[in-house]
Amino acid sequence: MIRSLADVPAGSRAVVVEVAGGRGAKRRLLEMGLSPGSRVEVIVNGFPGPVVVKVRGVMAALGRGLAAKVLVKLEEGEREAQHGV
Amino acid sequence: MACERAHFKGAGSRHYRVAVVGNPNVGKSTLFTALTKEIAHIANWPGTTVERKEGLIRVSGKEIVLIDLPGIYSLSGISAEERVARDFLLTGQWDALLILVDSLAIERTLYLAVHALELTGRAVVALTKWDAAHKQGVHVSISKLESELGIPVVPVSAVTREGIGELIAKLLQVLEGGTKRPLKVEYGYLEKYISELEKELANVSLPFKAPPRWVALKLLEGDEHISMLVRSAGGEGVVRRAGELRSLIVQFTGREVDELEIQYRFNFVDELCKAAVVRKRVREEIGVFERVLLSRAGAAASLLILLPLYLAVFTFNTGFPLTLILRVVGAAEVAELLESSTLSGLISGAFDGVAALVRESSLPTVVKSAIADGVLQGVGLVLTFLPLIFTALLILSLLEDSGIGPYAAASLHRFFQRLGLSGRAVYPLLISLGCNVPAVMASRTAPDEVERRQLVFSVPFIPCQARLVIIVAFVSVYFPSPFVAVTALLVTYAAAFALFAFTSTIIRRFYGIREPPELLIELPPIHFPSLRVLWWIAWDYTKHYLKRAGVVIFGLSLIIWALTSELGVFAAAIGDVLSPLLALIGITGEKATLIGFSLVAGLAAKEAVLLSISATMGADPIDALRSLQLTGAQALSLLALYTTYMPCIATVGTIYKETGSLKYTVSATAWSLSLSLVTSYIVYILASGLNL
Repeated sequence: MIRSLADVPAGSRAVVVEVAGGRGAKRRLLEMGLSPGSRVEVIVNGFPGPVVVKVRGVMAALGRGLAAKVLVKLEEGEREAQHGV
Repeated sequence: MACERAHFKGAGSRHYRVAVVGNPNVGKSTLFTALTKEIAHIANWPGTTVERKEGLIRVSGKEIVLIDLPGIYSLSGISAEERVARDFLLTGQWDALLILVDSLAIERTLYLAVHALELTGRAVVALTKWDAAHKQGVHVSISKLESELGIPVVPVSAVTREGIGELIAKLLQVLEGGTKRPLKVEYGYLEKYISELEKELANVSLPFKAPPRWVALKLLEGDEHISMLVRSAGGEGVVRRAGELRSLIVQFTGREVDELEIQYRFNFVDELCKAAVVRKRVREEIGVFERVLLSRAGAAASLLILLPLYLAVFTFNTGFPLTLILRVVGAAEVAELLESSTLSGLISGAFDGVAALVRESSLPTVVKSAIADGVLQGVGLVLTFLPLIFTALLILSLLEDSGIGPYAAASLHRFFQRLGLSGRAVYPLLISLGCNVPAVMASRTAPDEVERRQLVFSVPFIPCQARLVIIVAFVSVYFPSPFVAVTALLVTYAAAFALFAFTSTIIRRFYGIREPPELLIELPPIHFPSLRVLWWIAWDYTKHYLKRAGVVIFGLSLIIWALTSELGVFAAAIGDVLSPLLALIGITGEKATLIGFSLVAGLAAKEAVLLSISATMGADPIDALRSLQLTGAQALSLLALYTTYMPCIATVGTIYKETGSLKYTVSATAWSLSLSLVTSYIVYILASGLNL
């Protein structure tokens, strides 16, 4: 199931499928390592705070607007994970 | 790009220039300190506020100048930092690259390294934080990396100094060796288009130094800057062809070229990591401290860390705000004692002492005044800021270097976003409540150039402690009832904050940006910072403040002295010049002259406003203020004017130092002055309407 990174509950892992958004924002996200195929682990995700992820060995905070632009696929075994922090 | 060829001139000896390239948080400053004894040269990159540091390594009779490029994620030229780094690399004014890769985050930081290695093979990669890599179970096959990248790779630790000597030796080897081919990354589907453009580029003589393959890829992705340069060199046809191919690729793949390019480059990195890197522990827990800072209570927790730190800095330097509290509870003597024993108090006390000696001497009156009130005041003014700048910047580097800074910035981001600023604006804002001078310097933590300018323009509106003294004096004389007094105080701060927010938004608009900044920030693990780096950074900025801002501040304070000295011809005239403006709020005659004069005197330091009024009236400041017999509306209007009218000369000097631009310094000052005049007038009209 494909959803935006903003909707991935904390503690889940996912794989980046696509990054949407304007050229500048997209490029920044891609070059921070959120490129299609990269595995991300969501560390913190609580509205209205930022989404904190670990990707390519680095932890990063994304505003909710940016996180919504990253489309991901949850990894197997992560589907039953509950919403919320 | 205007760029001096070298800042170091060895006596006939050969010196090499090495550009240091790396992501933010890869441990660049730490390695820089480990490699060089000191920063030998700090300046801004031409036309920007992005700072440029240079350091010097002397090894076996040769000199290597390290040019520290800003921390960046890529060479695509989206941010000012990236543009600066890329433009410099394209000038070819370097002999080799030192590329930093974080051994704890190889999968991410190798990306920039690969990108840079496509530009040149004359490079050495340093794998930083090697001591921590062992502990965290990261194992890297150095020989595998070396053979795949075709350049020397040296694991280093700035903490244990492991590998530092070898790094310098390898660097020297590359510098003294011949040319080397750049790295070739496989771009799959894009390859045939790249080679077509590469062939066409053979007929164009490029106005910058880069391999044709690299340029071909840039043209294909539609990089505006590179396209413009190639077009100007007669490569019109190639650029047009690149555009055609680009639309073709988008049509076929449904993806932009730069997207594909980044993907292929990361694939290359992934393949390399698969072959050369083994991670033992896969999932590591993040610490409790980090969790708290990222939780819902993160904003509060961040302020709980930041506030006491800065309160301590100011109490230690100037006694503020402890002195204010002591005065409010009636312990004025204790407050004065404390104030005179703080660092700023001690320094200005010493200068006052020397000035008193000069005044008692038998020198001619003019000379005495020039030395005591001109020169000594000026030098004293410059020096009183030194400990404040040093400690404020020490705390700032402590927060940044330990990693606490980025967490605080992330948790506070949504509050600042509304002002068109990022979470990092919390530092300059907090510091400015104490003093605008280190606050303007703290704008350097801004994530981009535009935000830095927003802060430099807007921070001087925040009332510093000197202005708080004026506010309190005005309020206690003209609005003595406690409720009204507190309201007036809060309204003044709210108004100043509104001017800050307004200015910040306007400047952002001026640069054509409408959206608030989006948060995208790396969160390094919080760790104990390297004390050497902290000391080094704080000391260096203090030194450069002294050199650059110091001269400006000293010069300006001499001008202010010449204008306001009771011996000079200007003293009377200066007040009269400003009288027509004051007539707008119904202040005329002698009163207008006096207030106009105090406004000029207050430029040297805001506390001088009250002193100049009291000196002329021959009474203590409070009585002197009272005898001005202003109406409520006039008092409020003047209060607004005194609080915001213009940054003091120390702040002006610092703005000049930070932006390196006379144009920006003058515009920031003029903006502040005009906005303040308009505000004061509006306040007067409104307050008069309310019959105050």
